[in-house]
Amino acid sequence: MIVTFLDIVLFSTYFILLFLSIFWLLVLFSSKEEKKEKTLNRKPFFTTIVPAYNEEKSIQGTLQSLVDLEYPEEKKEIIVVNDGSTDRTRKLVEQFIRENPSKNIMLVNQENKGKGNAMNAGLKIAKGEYFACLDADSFIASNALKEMLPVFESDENIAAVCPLLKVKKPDSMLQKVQWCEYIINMFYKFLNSKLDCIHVTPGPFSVYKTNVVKDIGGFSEKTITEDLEIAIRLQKHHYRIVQIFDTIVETTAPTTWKKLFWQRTRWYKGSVDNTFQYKQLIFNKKYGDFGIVRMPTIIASGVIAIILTGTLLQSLLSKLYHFLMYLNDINFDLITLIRKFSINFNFLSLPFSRIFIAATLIGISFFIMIYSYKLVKEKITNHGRTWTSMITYLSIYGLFITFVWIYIGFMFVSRKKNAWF
Amino acid sequence: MAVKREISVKKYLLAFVLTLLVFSGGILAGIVLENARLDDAEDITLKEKVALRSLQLQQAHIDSGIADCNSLHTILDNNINQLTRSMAVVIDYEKRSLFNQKKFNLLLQDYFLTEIQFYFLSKEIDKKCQQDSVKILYFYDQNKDETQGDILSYLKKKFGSRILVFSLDSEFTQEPLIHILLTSYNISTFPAVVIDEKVYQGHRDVREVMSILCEEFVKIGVELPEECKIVQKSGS
Repeated sequence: MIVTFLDIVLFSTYFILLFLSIFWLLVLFSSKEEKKEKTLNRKPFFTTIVPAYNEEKSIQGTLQSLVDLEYPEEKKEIIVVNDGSTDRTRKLVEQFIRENPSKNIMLVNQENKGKGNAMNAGLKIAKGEYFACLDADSFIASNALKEMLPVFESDENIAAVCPLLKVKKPDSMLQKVQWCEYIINMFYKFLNSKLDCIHVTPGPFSVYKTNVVKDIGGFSEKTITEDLEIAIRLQKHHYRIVQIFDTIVETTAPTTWKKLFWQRTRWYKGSVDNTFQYKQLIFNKKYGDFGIVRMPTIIASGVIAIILTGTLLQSLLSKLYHFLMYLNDINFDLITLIRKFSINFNFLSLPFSRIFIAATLIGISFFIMIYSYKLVKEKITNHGRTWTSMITYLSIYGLFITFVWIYIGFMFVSRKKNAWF
Repeated sequence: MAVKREISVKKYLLAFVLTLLVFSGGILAGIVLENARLDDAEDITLKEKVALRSLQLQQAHIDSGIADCNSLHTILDNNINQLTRSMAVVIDYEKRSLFNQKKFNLLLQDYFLTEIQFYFLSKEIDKKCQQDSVKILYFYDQNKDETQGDILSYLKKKFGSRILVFSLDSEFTQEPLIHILLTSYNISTFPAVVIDEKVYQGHRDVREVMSILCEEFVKIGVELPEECKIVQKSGS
């Protein structure tokens, strides 16, 4: 048997993927459950920081969702940090403050210095024992604090609690696909949470313990994915990050493939940059499962995606090239080929190993999808988000994400920095 | 105050063992599958041998009138077509084999021998009956990404029973007869095609091979296919 490079890549990748899938399934069915206090015994002061840069379209809706939060008025404050917006963001916030004078809303205006800096500016004047960041393109459910704050009471090592993220009003096919993706990501976060392995506290309303974040130096101003960086830093200092599913935050998803491409490039490049920044955590037993499995897989997932798709594409292109050469050799006489076409099907010649690998991986993917929907209490066909979105997610979207990883590979080679595209 | 970190050693070990088990299951299934392929290849070889013997017998008794030339030509064409298809299957099995490489190699050797026997037999038939097809001996190099074989398959589709293609792996050193043929035809470059004892070494495009074949069709006096008339017109 001639073992090709493609075979080695496929089998190694399959082994790693199968190992990780089985591992996470074992985590899924393990009994460890987060013990959550159901009610808040006290009402700690709470701050929401809204960093805003040119958010005129959504800022008032975002502020309204914060005002509607079910929590005593005297125990909460909202700090909007206008990070040098050039549109009507400032005017709209000022107007909102005028219309809601009793809601304890503050506006901080500064030159454009980036989200990390804006967060730190808000953090500096925050009075809350806990605080959250809410991106100006996200909207929070009114029960958020009632559900999230009691989690901190169950374990003093918890430094951050993340809500359930969903795509807001997914209209287009692309948004529906992202809707699927967000739900599946929640499943992964559920598993990671079980092992204290969460490596990102998303911008939309992750709640932090203020003194912990201040103690570890606030948000990084060097990276544009500060929500990824702060999570890894919290992990580095051995704090816990917990994922819950009772609070929903809806966020606006990109509407075009181009916008999605740049968003994902920013996120994944940020993940990789942060992983390299904290490379001492990789395979470091001191950090438990986070060091052993979570940190290495951040980079490994990208590398596997690139190698797997690259090798498959190479094989496909080589076959296509050979076929085109053949057509060229026979002067593109397709008529003869079609007229004399015959199928020499031989059951025993089928590539069973590859079929088995593909079937297993597709099976695992579908299991994850269906379980994810169950976990977040959604129906697959909710609001017309049908199986098509799921199949698109599994096929085209996977390929799309690989191209994002390939571009990130290119960014590394050409030493290109991460940026807001 | 910081959380006490844990490593899920048991889960990692269990996951590793289960992954190995799945892989072992895959290897077991592979062994079963390969044995099935081996049985299938042996069946195919036996069938080809029986077909060869039948044809040899018919050819031997052609003078006594037991067999006639027309049916002999038809049977030969069918046999070679079947042989080509079966050989592709056996070569595919041999490429995939992990545990029975030697057995598959032997079967393949048997196959090449049968094919060479068919080639010689076809020449014998031509001596007794009027030649109605052009015999092409094709030596390929499986390590080269070549389209010569595809071109010959295409021409076979085009000319049907007018041509018979006998494919031999030039790298199959296990069978000395292939080497003897290569030496006798003085072939050193691959792919190589032998048509009417004339040797064409290196890649030949479809027009060139078609032109050679058309000349051969004229020589043996078979009905000239439409394509040959076009080739002849464009040549003149």
